[in-house]
Amino acid sequence: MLISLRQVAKAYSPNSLVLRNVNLELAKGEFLFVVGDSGVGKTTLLKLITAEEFPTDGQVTFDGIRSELDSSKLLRFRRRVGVVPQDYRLLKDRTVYDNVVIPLFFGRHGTNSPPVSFMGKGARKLVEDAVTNVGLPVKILEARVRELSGGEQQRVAIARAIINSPDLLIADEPTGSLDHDHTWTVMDLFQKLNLKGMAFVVATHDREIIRRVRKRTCHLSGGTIRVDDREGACIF
Amino acid sequence: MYFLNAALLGMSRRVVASILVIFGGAALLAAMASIGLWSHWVGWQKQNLRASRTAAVFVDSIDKNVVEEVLTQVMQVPGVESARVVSPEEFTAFLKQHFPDLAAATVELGDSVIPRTLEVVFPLDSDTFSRQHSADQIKAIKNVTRIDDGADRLGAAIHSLAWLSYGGICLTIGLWLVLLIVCLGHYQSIFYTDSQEIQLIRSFGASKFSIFLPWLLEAVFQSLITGIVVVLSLVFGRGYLTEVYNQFFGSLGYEPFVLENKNFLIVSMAIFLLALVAHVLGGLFALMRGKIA
Repeated sequence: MLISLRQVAKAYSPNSLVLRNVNLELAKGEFLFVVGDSGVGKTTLLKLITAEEFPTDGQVTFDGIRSELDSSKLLRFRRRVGVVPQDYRLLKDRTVYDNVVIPLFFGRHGTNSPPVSFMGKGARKLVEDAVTNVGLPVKILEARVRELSGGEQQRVAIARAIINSPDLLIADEPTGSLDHDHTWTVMDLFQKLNLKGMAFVVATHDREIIRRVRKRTCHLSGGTIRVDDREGACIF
Repeated sequence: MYFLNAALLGMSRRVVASILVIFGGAALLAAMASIGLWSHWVGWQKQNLRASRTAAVFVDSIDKNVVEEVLTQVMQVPGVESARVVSPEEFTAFLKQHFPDLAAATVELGDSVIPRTLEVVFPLDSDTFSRQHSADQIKAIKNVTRIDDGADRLGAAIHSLAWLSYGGICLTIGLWLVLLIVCLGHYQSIFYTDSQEIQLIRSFGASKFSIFLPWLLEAVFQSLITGIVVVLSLVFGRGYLTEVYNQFFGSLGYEPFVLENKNFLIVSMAIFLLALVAHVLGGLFALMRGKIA
């Protein structure tokens, strides 16, 4: 299993349990939607999967590595994961190129992408491919992120997440700021990458996406997974 | 390339803070270098002051042959490095410089009133006991009336010099610690303002070294620029410093301050090194305090 959560609970303070009794397994190359009402713990679940947060109780393993035990292996695992945060986490005073290129310089152990030299040779081509894949023009690379619209910023964050050809892409509301056409550009890209073997965990509110893509869907409610629909038969 | 870009971009984004740290650090380092050099020179004076290892031997005769005979005997005393006769002209010149009234009186009275003296120099490594022994032997030589030992005369002054030297060294270390604290504050504020970026690159699997590398490069650049500013200020201020030092040393009749090119190069390299260490240590302490990595 690529990701495994067993009896996981997460509390940010002693009296506020955000997640409890969560059991989830994700195989390599699998596509998973996480749905649920606002504040139900979707983002926390994704943060547990990326090891940005650690469980209060239970166990999270990444490709057999326990998150709280092995920090050096965890670093290597993180290099195999692409993340699209809900708030994009872009460096607003930098150019699009500077933002998208970042993951290429922090080790590429275990990723499927071609090597980039320490001086950055070969990085330009990879960045151009990534932004083109998310429907952005190449000329946008020199623009500063703060000059972009919300939708463009979201696609820059997606380009940054896929540039390393990660084994797993975790996206928190990746189409929340996109119009209809760009939503489907991104979802088509996700499906294409999924066909090539990239696993996905996507948190979304968009019912249309879930209905049309028809992938495994976990419904979070009351801090735990109420329904794990492996057929994607549109459960909400 | 990313790390280099990040370092340069970081400096340009924090241009005011960077300039303040560079010039503040340069001022501290320049003061440190000046005081450090002064302390070192004071320490050197303590060890090497010619006057402190020189004795004046007064001869009770103006007969040239007698004086030469005393000189020969003095040279044979164990523990004497060198000895020479101080000519009446030299003695008069000294009087003119330091005691003009006395010099005017001797001109009227003629050479015969000027005491014939020998200047005896003891080795650098001679200890008090052996010097005293040598002095006693010189005193016992026929026609020697008295011996005026420079170490006895300068004893208290040399003791003060030692304390001045220690004080200067403490002040130098203190100034460097101030620089370290300035750097710590600077990098701590950088890590605070850049915490979002650090969190982001950590989420991509960046190692602690990768996280610190851009700031390490920034520290190297800033310390290099700081070092250049200090060395340039010392190049242009070298003459002035020498003059100030010699106002002090000259007033006590000590050896003049000289900063040779070789020593200046060593000082310059030390400045670069101290600036670099202060910046890098400041950055590392800030990183540890912030527990960011």
